[in-house]
Amino acid sequence: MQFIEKEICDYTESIWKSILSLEAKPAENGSANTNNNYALAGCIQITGAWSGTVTVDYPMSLAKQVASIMFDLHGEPVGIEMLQDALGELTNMTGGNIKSLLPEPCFLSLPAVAVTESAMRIPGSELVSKVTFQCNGENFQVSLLKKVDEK
Amino acid sequence: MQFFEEEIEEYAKFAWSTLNLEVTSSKEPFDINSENSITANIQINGKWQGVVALMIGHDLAQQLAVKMFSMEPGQVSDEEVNDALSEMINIIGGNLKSLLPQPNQLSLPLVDLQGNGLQFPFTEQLSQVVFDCMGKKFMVTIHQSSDNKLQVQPSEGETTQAS
Repeated sequence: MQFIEKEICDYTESIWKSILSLEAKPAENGSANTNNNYALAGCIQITGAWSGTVTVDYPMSLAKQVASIMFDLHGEPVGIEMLQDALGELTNMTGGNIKSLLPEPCFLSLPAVAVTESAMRIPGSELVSKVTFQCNGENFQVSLLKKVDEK
Repeated sequence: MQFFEEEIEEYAKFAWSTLNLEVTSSKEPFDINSENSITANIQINGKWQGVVALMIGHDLAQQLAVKMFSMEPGQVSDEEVNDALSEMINIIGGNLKSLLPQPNQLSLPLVDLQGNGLQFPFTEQLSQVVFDCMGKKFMVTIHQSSDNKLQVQPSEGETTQAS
């Protein structure tokens, strides 16, 4: 079991259910689909008594579904800003919940999002948890990275 | 005058000077949509919340890494480019942080090497300064949280190496 893996699963399932009415379950094979040509990556940082980063990565097809539901678009075209805002909001909620488990005081940064073919790089940190979820046949990933203490 | 425009200039010049490189501010635009661009950013969280971002072309980023790690141009990998940009944005962000309302904290730097433009939802851009280094452009921007209603006046601050 990885660091706060169960809580990451619980919070993610709860957020996707309550905000999007979507079922998100940990993927049985546990590995992410890394072959997406275009994926959106969201990232939020935690600083304070515990410092690190929470990232949420998903493929473009799932990004469109999420934004469409979040902004009630009913099949209308999804703009890039909506894709970014939707992922920013999900990343913010996921990071906010994870922050509540960490030593106080901690501060949550603003979310940052990018269209990227691989996860964003956060130099000076190491991966402590990575959970792959499935939703509507698509994989997405929630990761937690911890700042590496400088010697 | 934009928010902390003079300070951005001062700190960017200082960061580049650590590599013995000279920079000048430029009135020409930086091509933010270029697939060849890289974005590095660092966040400031606390009484003031926002983002300091560095947008730079891949060629210039590689040259910084070559200088920083005393390597041959062909030897530089993404890892060194990543570390070099992280260090530069850390210096600029760390100095700007000291001018903002306390307490606040500096996040880890975040680097997007793929030229797709890191975006910061729920923020507004306050400043954008373009620089020229060896004939190549780069840009430093400050974004403030939309919830952040603090009005901060630029003040005199000492240039220090961010830790």
